[in-house]
Amino acid sequence: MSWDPEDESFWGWSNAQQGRVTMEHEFGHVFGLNHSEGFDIMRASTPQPIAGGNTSEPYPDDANGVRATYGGSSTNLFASAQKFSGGAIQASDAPNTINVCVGSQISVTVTIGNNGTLSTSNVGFRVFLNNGPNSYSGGWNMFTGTATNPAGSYLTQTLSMTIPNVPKGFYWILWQIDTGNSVSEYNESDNTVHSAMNVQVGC
Amino acid sequence: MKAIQAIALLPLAIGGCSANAAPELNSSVGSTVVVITGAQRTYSSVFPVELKAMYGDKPSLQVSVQGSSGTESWSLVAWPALDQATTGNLTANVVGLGIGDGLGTLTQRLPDGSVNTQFSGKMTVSVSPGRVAGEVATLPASGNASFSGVLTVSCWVPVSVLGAAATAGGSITPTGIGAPEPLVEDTALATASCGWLRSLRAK
Repeated sequence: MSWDPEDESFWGWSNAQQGRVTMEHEFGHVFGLNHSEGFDIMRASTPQPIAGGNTSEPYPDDANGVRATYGGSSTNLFASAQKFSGGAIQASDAPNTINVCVGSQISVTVTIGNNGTLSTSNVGFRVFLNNGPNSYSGGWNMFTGTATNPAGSYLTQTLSMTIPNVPKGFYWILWQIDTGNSVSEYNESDNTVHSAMNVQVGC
Repeated sequence: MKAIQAIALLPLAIGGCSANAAPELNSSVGSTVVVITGAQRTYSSVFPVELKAMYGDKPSLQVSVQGSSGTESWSLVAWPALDQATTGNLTANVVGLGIGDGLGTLTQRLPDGSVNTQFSGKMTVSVSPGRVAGEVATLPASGNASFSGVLTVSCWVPVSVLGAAATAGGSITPTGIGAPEPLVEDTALATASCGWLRSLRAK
């Protein structure tokens, strides 16, 4: 049995085929979890969250629930381009293209979290522009900082930043947790995600 | 074997979990909550129109609307002047370049993947509790549209305004002195800045 990323049509905004998240949700029931209406795979209402790389996974409350029943420990940070707001999962920023100049101030809403059992602190974090949705390395930083993520928690924040000195063109906005790869995680592929929002730098 | 597995799993993937005959995941398909009637086609969205107030260093208001026809998409992001906020009527000039108070950007993605953002015109939007209706008139006229549907509101304030409650999920600390403080959502609209938005939440 395989679940392909193509099953996820969230970025087509239709949620027509949330195949993988549905299967993970059902396995959550197999493991004894009930519904929980938060930033969880165990939401009864769609859509469920998707993390970095456009994949789905157990989120902090899901993971805490399974561990409460079966025990175990793990370490994992994740990035998501979604938020839990008004009782629903939504794109953290709407899927729009904004036309900006070098030096323009923009706001980007990011979600990062820790679905492991080890709290992390002062881990590298950045928001950057790059040429493709999956261009996870390099790029042009717009925001750099550090993140502190208690075990089994997540946060959504809106950050203010300046468009850096990039050539004119169309760019994707991405963010990355654990930029220095200082945390050994069970899933290293969910640390970077792209926003639904793009920028067109025209001057 | 693969086909048999696929057939066996199909009802689960489509119907989601179910304590009784009614599928709880609503066939994993989000309901259309916004309809955009464009010059040439109709777009729909499972995501509500969002009115987002941000009380950072420079307070701003943002409206975002987006929809897809299946092959094309239409999206608008605009920053009406904050002093229009309590009037229920929001306006912005649609421009091909630039962001800021009183401006907006319209984006059309065409079936071939190309993006057109070169529109100029005007957006008018009226908001009421949980509902929104609006119109965009542009040149070229291919951007013209009217829309109506569900409205969600969110309000974002500096972390320090909400205090400890805002940092339970962790924190992001910008590098550099004088970097703007990250904003967090005042989900209860309990702060002095955000209280006016309570009247726009769905009853």
